[in-house]
Order: sequence, then C-alpha cells, then structure tokens
Amino acid sequence: MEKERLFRLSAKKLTELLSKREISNLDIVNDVVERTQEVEPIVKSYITTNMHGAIASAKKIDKLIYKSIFKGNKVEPLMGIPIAIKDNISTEGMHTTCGSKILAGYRPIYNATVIKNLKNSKIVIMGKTNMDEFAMGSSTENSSFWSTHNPWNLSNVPGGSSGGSAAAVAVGEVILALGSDTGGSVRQPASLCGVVGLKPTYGLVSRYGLIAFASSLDQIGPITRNVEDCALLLNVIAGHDPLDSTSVLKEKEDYTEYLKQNINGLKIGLIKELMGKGISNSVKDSVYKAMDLFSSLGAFCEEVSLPSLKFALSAYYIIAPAEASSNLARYDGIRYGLRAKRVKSFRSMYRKTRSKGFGDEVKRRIMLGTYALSRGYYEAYYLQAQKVRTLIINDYKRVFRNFDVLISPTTPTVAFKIGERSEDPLTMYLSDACTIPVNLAGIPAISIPCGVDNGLPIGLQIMTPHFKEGLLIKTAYNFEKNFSFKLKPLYKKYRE
Amino acid sequence: MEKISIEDVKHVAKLAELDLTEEEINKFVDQLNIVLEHAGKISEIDTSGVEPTSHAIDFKNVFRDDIVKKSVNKEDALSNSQKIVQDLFELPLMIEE
Amino acid sequence: MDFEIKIGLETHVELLTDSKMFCGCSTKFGSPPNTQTCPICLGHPGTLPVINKKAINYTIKVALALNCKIANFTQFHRKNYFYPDLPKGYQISQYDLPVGLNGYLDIELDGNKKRIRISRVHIEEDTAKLIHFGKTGRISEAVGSGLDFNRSGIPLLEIVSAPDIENVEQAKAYVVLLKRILEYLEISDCNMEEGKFRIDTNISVRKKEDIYSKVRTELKNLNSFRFLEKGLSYEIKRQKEILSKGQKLYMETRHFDSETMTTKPMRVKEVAEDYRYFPEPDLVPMIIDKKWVEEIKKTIPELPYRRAKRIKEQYNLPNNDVQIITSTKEMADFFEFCAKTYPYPKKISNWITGDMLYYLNQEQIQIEECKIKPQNLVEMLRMIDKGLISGKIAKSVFKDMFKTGEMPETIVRRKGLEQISDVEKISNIIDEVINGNPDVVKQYLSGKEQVLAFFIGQVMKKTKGKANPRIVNDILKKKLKRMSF
Ligand SMILES: [Mg+2]
Ligand SMILES: [Zn+2]
Repeated sequence: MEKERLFRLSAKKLTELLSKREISNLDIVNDVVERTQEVEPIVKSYITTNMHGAIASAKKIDKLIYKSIFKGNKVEPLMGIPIAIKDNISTEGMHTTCGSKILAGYRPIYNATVIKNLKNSKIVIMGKTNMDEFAMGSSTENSSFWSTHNPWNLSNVPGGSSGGSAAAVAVGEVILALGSDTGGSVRQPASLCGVVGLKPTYGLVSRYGLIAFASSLDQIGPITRNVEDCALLLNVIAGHDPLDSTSVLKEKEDYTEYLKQNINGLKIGLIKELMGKGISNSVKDSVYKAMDLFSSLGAFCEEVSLPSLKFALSAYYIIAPAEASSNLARYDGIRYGLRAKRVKSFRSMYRKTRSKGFGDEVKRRIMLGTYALSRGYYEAYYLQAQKVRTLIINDYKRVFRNFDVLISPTTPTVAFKIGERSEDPLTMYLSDACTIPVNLAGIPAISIPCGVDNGLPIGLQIMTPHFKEGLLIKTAYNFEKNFSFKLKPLYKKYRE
Repeated sequence: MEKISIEDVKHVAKLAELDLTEEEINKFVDQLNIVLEHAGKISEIDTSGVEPTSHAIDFKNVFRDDIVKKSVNKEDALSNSQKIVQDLFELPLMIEE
Repeated sequence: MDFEIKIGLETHVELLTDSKMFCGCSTKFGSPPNTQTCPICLGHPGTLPVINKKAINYTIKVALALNCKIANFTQFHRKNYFYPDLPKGYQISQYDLPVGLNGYLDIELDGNKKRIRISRVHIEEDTAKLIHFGKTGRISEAVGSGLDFNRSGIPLLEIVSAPDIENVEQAKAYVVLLKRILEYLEISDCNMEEGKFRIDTNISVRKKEDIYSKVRTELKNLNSFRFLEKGLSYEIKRQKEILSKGQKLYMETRHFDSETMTTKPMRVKEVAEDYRYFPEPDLVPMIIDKKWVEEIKKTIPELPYRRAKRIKEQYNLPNNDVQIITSTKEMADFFEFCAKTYPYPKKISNWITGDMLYYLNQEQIQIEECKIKPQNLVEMLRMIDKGLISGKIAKSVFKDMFKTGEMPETIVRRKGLEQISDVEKISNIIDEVINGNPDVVKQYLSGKEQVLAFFIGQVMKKTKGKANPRIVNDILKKKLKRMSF
C-alpha cells in the first residue's frame, strides 16, 4: 500500500508530526511541490509558483523548529504549513497580476498586511493562484491567463473568483489558501470544490494590500479543507490594522476555543428566500438534510423570511461595479503595469492601455459602474442601491434577534461546465445569489461541504451576526464532525 | 428604467477612458440592458425615509497622527514603470486629442 | 454700455503638516523627484488611505476663522477623473459635506467695508507635479513631460468664495486678507512661488439687462498677486469687448500666460465634466462634536482685523500705521513687543513703518528674518530720549543694527557717535563758524533769518552730526542776537 502522502493531511495533523519530529518542514513542502508538479498542468491553479522560495523557507523554518523543540517549546500553530495566495493580494517582489494582463509583470514594492501576518507566523507561501480578472466572476474563466479546472471533474469550473485557491486546496497542491470575497468569491468556489471557505465580518481582516474590487464589500478569507484549519488560519489573519481605516479595533480571539463547544439549544434559521426558484433540487435536498442533522445535535431549526433579499443581487450589481469603476481608474500605464506603445497623447495612452489590458467582464463592469454613478443616474441607481442595502442590514438585524445563526445553500447548483455560462452575464451573476446578501450586510459566513451530487460537491452556507466568527466556527465544526464527507480529488491521480 | 443606448455606451466609454470597437459597443448595449433591467428592480422598492449605507459596519473618526514615516527609495518607486526619464515617470506629450 | 461683473475665487492652500494627507511621507518642499513617495501616494494597487488628524484640525481652524459653520457630520468623497497627475484616477476630496460651510470675509477698500461670502472650506489631497521638458518649461513648447509624486497627497485646503467680488481691487483685497489670515493661523506658509497658495477664478461679465446670463469663464494659473490683477483685468476687458460687439461669450477654461500677460483658451471640453462623486468607501465618516470645535477655537490667535482694531484703539495710531503694522502677524508681534517696554507707541510705529520697512523691502525679507529684535529698537529709542544720540545719528545706528543685529549702545560706542552736549565745546565751534562767514552774518543781521539753517549745517558738519541740535540752536541764536546790537 502507498504510504500516506503529506499533502493530504490537515495543517493540525502536520503540526503534530512536526512537533514529534517525525517529519521535517522540508518533507511537507517537498511533498506539496511534488503533488503540484503532478496536477498543475491539468488543474492550473496557479498563475505564479514560488517553489524554490518555499523550499528555501522550509529549510530555515526547520532550523527554527529544531531550536524551539530543543528549548522545550511547542511548534507554533501553522508554522511551516504551505499556503497559496490569491493573486490579488500584494506580495513584495512576487509577481501579482489580479488575473489581468494590465498588471502582467507587476512586482509590488510592499506586502499586504495579511502577508506580513503569515510571514510572522512562518507560514510558507507556495505561489499566487488563478482568479477571475480583478475578482470579477464566478468561474475563474475570466482570468486573462487560463481557466482553472475543477479537480472533481476537469470539464467543470472550480467556481470563482478564488477558483485557483479553492482548486489548489481541494487537489492537494497546498494545505491552506487565502481568497477574497466581494460577493461570494471565497465561499462559492469553496462550495464547488468541496472545501471550507470563510468570509469574515467586514473589518475583521485588514484589506491593506488586497487589490480593490469593491471596497465596501471586499474581505480576505481562508480556504481550507476543514473547519479547524480554517479557525487556525483566521487566528493569524484577523486583527486590527492601522493601515486600514475600516479595520475594527477589537481584541484578538482564539477561534479554536469554539471548537470545543456543542450546539445544543442553538436557534438556526433557514432563509426561505434562498431556497426558491433557481436552486437545484439536489442542493435543496442536501440543505434540508443538513437541517435534520443540526436538529439531531440539539439545535432548533426553522424557516425564516428576509424579504429584502430579493433585491440583494440588484443592489450588488450597482454598488460593486460602481466602486470597481473607480478602483480600476488607477490602471493608466504610468506607474506600473501595461502601457500601450506608440501613443501620441496621454488620453490615447489611457484608452489603448485600458482597452488592451482589461478583459471583457472587467470592461462590462466598469461600464456598468460608470453609468450608475454618472450624472442623472446616481440617485436612481447608486443611492437607491445604498438604501436597499440599509433594508437588507435591517432585515438581518431583525431575524438575528430570534436566531443565533442562519443557513442557506452556498450556491444554487453544483459546479457548471466550463464555457456554459460565459456568454451570458446575468446567468453567471445569479451563481452568487445566495452569497451576495452577506457581503451587503457585512456579516460573516462560512461554506462547508454538505453533500455530493453527480460526483460534484454541494456547499452549506452558515451566517452569524457581525464579529461572531466564533459561533460560525462552532456551528460549522459540529456539523463537519457529524457529517461524513470525502474530499475525493486528494486521492485522484490525474496522470496515468 | 430607461434603456441604455449606443450613444450612452459611447459616452460612458469616454468617461471610463476605454476604446471600444463597434462590435464591443453593440454587445455591451445588449448585455448592459439585460443587467440594468435586472438591477433596475431596486426602483420598485419604497425607500422613503431610509438612509443610504456606505459600510455595513458603523465606524467613525478613524485617524492617524501627523507623523512622518520613511518613504520608499526612489528606485523602488520607479521600479514598475515602463518609462522613466530623469527620475520622473515619463508621459507622452501633454496634448489632448 | 453697463456691465455687471461677478468674480468668485477658489483658493487652494497646501497645509503645513509634517506628513501627507493619507500616508506618512514627508511634505518637505524641494527634495529630488520621487524621493518622498510610498505605495499609498503612488496609488499602487491594494493601498488604502488613513486620514491625518492634524489636517482636519487645520481645516476646522480655517473654517472657524472664516466664520463658517462647522459640519457635525462630514466625510470624504471620490472625485473621479483621469489626468496623469492624479495617481488613483480619483481625488479624495469633499463634496456635499465639507468641513466648513457658509462663512464670510469682510474686506475694506478706501474705508468701505464689503462682505465676501465664503461658500465652503474643504480638505482634499494635492496631485503630483507635472514637469515639462523643453527649452522653456511651458506646455506649448514641451518636447515631453514627466511626473514627480513628491507633491502627491499633500493636504490641500480649498476655500471657495461666493461670486460676490465686483472688480479687480476687491479680488486683490480678498486674496491679500485671506492670505494674511492663513499666515496668522500658521496652517500654511502660503508661499506662492512654491505653489502652496494657488488661485483659480470664475469671472462672469454680463450686460446689466441680460439678467439670465449664466456664462462664466474659469481662469487658471494666477500664481502671484500681480498675475491675479493682470489676468482679471485682461479677462474683464476681453469679455466686455466681446459683449460690446454684440457677440456671445461661452463657458470655457482659460489659462493666464505670464509672458504675454493675456489669457488663452485652455481646453474645450469634449465631454461635459462628470466627476461621479460618491462617498469614499476606504474611509469612514467624521463626527466633529462641540468639544472638538471648542478645542480648535482655543488655538486660533487674534485675527488681523480684530488685532488691527485693537491696536488702533489701544495705541492711538493713525490708520496708515495700523495697516502696515498688522500686515503680517510677525510685524504686529514686533510692534507689540516693543510697546510693552517702551511708552511711546507712535515713535515705535514711525521707525517700523519708516526705516524698518524701507530696509525690509530693499532686502526682500520678512521682519522675522531680519537681525533687529524688539530690544534693539527699544534701546535705541531710549538713547534718543536721553539725548545720547540725535535722530539723525539714530538713522545710521539703525542701518548698522539692521546689518549686524548689534545693540545700539555697542554701535554708538564703537563708532564714537555720542552726542556732544558740552556747551563750551559747541560754543567754540559756533564762534569758528560765525567768524569764518561774515557775509552770511550780514545777511542774517539784515533780516534774512533763513540763513540760520546754514549755520546749523556748518556746525553739524564740523561735529560730524554729533552736536546736540537743541543746544546748537539756542547758543547760535543768542550769539547772533548779541551781534545785532
Ligand atoms: Mg479642489
Ligand atoms: Zn506616501
């Protein structure tokens, strides 16, 4: 029988083995590198890999681990664990493209705050993962470079926009990953790849160094294979950052503490509006079964209505493009990135650079957002959308008076075929119908696997009030412990 | 909501500094209309008396003190630009078309 | 033909903070290009702004000094437009909720007061500096351009007046007073050459009967008081001429050309400007409560017009003196320092508005930069009062003090300039002069008393100006009188 490969193990398990000195950090990194070499040509999770850099880091960390153990200290959580970073997070000196040609060749001169946090914890960065250009998309097909394939079924999408991160974690190219979530971009690909994805409360994780899509909605979140690893990674990246004015001043929590608690007596509401038209039967079925499981664990489950959610998608497709149209104005060819050649004036430099550098979906959203902010339309679109957002927030506040957590499907369907929706923006936008309201309300949400249909995973979304990530983790962990699910891609051989 | 026209698309493209081909313009007219029709549903909601929300979290008065921090060195500042002249980011002529 | 002229001024002022508006880079002027930048003020992807509190404090301070209402709730907006000097493609500025609203500034022209309303005082960030290569550095002759981001993100105050100004003189009076107030507040050094105090104007000239005309011209690049005067005058003349010919004016932005002293059209906008303002999502709103406003109020010094009024009354000085003395805070401080230890304010004022001003202008420096300190002047005035030096000698002592900063006593001693009050010594010299000029004595005796001045001049010449003039006068008259008998 083949020896159990390290890339399949959880971060928690790997730390145990490191502590016992049964393996070295280099063993872990080598195994992950080997797996990447096996599957990367087929899955294509990465835009940029950092294999040599990672091996060098692992060697240094091995020395630190040795010293630490020699002194009788424990190996710090996540020390030496390989992580993949979505390519819209700024890494000093390491190619960062946001999945766009307009940033091809860009090497940031600074690290995002989350990257500093990872480095402080001695987590090993394996590379930068593929994504929909500027995080605009739900399939990773909008990457300017190539599409990433769903490791469960290579002809399907991995979801998006953090598709590269989710696929890499699911297939074992890496143990942990970071994604970003503006309208579901962590949770949706996590759901379609059968892994765990968490979007923190707006303001819990610093956005400094996250290349902006929609500033009032963006959050960086962990993508992992289980809830415990998710809690460990959240411990590292959460916390106040003076460089981000929207970062909350709040004492640090140890989210693993919540893993010890049960959910007896917990009040769970299933959002009625997210179980209607457009949700496939298999998905509904799994969510109802999840409700039964929660009930069996001592929780009270009930359906609950948030009528304003009907308008969430509409409001989102005004607010997000509007902010994006402004955030993407800085790509002008002057200070970094692509610059069109042979231009006569700076205006033609702008136009040629931006027209060449941005892909279709990005242009579409810039157009949409510019229109929604333009004279004569601002009140009807942008301002009205911001008011609808108030209604959505109030709706959540109201139901959270009676419920501790809310649940819904993460996505309306399992992963769709590559190419199936790429020419139809509206249908593509509907893939995020269940995740978008959460971003508008700023609340935290997690997606965890809750079933499989036709060889493709189904995700359950759990939501809590602002800054109740602990409760979120507790609820998800209790479910995960009592639900049997196998992450098949980890055991798949992609080459004969 | 009114429909977006070819002229609207051209105007918006200018505001956003995008050069669109005729083909792109035609495609965007159709696609933007479909999306706007859907997004326009928000106009059905009565929001009288409702305050707009910019952030879901209610933060106020976040400041920094007036303290000078080290700037990056010039080489780093200029390192990602395609064209540098005399330590300046070079531009095409400042004429407007 | 009767015309009505309306002028509104938009003033941009760089604040005197140590660090930039939204990042920690230094605001120091004149460093080599692109050495005071960071990912934030270069607009790199993923960076975020954080508000410099001192800049907000300064904005409140100015708004209060200009009699504005301070917004209780205020926030930043993004002003979206593309221009190479704007790294993010938007300027973080203020829109419908500026820090200060609805203030005023009272100017005085020939003794007449006029109130100019201030529509708003808001805070924003400065842009990068565009540099044009070419022989002249002028846009029209440039062979290329480049960007220096040292200026990018420096806190920039915008003060917008209502179109209440009716002529060039009022415009100038407004700007002079505004600049003086800002200097008094010590929130900017207002150096116009360094672009820290910049004026844009809106001018509309219309025929009196044309009450519905709303056409106005924006005029930019008026970076000195002289250019402001020349530019406005030219523009008013140009517009009047066009209207007199029965032609129409249209909305445009014009650029003042300091070579030709004329204005030229800058750009005809192809798209009507649409800045697509929306609340800056990377920043959070500010609540300026009463307590905060009170704290800032305490930091506001007595402002020029109040001070002028007080100085006039307290020291009983003529208007002209008061105007000069209060033209800068430092000069007023100098005067009041002296007045604290010396009891004759008019004498102090005479020296400041006379010799002091003359030398300051000659050297092109400010009073705080010159070597004379209040103690020097006071000491010198006392020496005059005690008869130790004459007024005339004092003038040369002052000149020396201005050069060296030495105390007057030291100069007088070093140069042997003590006044001669010794009656016998003076008497002997007078005898010499009388005996040496019998013809002139004859003239005097025949009734031509004007020649007395001649004798005094001669005595002074012989004593190198050191003889006490009062004593010379007395003895001379007595001696001549005796001769007439
Ligand atoms: Mg301005
Ligand atoms: Zn900076």
